Amino acid sequence: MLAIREHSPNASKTQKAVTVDLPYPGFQFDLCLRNQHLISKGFKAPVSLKTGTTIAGAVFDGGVVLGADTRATEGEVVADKNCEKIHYLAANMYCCGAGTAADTEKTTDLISSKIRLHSLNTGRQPRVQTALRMLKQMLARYGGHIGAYLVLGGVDLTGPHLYTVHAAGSTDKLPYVSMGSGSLAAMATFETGFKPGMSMEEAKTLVSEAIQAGILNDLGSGSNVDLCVITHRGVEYLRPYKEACQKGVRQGDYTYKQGTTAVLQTKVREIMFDVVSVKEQKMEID
Amino acid sequence: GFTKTLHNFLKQKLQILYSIIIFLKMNVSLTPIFQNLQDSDLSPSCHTNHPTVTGTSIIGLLCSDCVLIATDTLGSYGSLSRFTSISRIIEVGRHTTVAVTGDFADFQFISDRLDEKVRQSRLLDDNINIGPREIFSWLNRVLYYRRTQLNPLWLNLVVAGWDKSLSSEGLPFLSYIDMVGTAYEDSSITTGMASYLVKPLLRKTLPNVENERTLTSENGRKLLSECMKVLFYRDCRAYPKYHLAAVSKEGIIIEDVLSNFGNWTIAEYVHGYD
Repeated sequence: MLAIREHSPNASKTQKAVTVDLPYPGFQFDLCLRNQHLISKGFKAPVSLKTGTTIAGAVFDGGVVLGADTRATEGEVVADKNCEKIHYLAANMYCCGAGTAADTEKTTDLISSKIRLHSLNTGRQPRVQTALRMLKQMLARYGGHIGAYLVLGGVDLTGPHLYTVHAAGSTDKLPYVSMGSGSLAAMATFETGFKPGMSMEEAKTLVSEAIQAGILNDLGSGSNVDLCVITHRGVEYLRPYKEACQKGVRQGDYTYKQGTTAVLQTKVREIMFDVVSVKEQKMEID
Repeated sequence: GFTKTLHNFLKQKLQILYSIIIFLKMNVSLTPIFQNLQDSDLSPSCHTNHPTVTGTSIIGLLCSDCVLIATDTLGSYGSLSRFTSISRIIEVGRHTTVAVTGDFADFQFISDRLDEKVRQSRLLDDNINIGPREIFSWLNRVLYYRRTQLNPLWLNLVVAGWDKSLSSEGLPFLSYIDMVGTAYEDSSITTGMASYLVKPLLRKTLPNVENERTLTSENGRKLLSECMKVLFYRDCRAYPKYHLAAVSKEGIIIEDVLSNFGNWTIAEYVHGYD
């Protein structure tokens, strides 16, 4: 905690300087023992909102396609049917996030701000490698406790780049990647379908199929496919690209037709009323 | 006189009382029921519950005129590729094959029992051959029984064959039995890592209609070859050499296939990690 202490008027020059208690860096683990004790006594710890995801990316000739499903799970329940997993980092780079939803959101937000400041400072378009360095250095500092598993993709002056970042801070640079609980299904699709130097349409189809494989075969992934196509010309954010799980059409109609209930008797009773007063109020139509 | 006899009487009674108390006290500490009790008598029975030499995944496909099963020829000892040329498929009679994922010792045990079953069936000399459906049913019972005894056979089995029980011509048959006794029939079956890596590919390629077998034997072989390649890429305990068993009306053929090691041209595009 930041504490600013001021000294009395009779204090010496050096003492008069405002002393600042520097904040303790990293996570505070003081309450871990207390939490353990509570759990042993029967307290149910709250479950964090996870994204239980399929995210994937592939490099094509001239750019990068990122894909993600849209289901967020909280334990065994779907918390958000249509959440956004492809986060904005800069105009030329986006980041898909798997793992703990809060961690991916806040990490990408933070690095997005840092990238913006950095690019204003340098006067240049930010590079994907810069964002990668910032992400991995931050996550490594927290030793894996920030549960963010990311797929970072973007295009800068050096060309298209695609990376994965794990929670503990390790990174990989690859032509095609997948993360999350549905990553095996997505990776199987890539291993059979990926060719280097694909066209944009081929790449979009491939990534969409990879995400669909995750949605259909993994219980932690579901709903729609979101795609984000990044080229040096710009970004095409397709949300939703495909609705893989459409709500079924109702088979039966449970509304009763007019005349189902037979009318036995009709009685009309007029309500007698007198006009007491008439008030006119103009409505303001501006 | 009276008080003296009363005193003697009471003393006698007290003595008896004391002796009874002492007798009871001695008895409580020497109750034979609790005397020689060990810790092991009180804890539940425990058997070895982890596999030693293991086989990895199996992929099974139902084609229009046959059943195809592919298993690689590796027996892993933890992370060591110990036995690189074992057959994880056995022929049971002339119409059935059984493939295994899991502990290889348990597989050899069940293999002996299956051979005995076939032998007994032949000895009856009634021209009724034991078929895949009977083997499936028997294995299901055995594995579930062992599960109830908390002493499982660490096996995930795939039973495939030519089944003549429902039609005289016969139909291809493919089924799965778990180490806990889960058992079902399906047109495509995967065990182990293949359930995560290969099943999504099969679901995409094969028709979604039940009982529809439009896959030809040749296309089935091509599909299996692709799937074994993906397994070799992404399963840590996979091996590039595999056995392909084809069971049809004519009988069982088991081929030795050297998988194509995959396409590694992608390596040119990978530099560093940054």
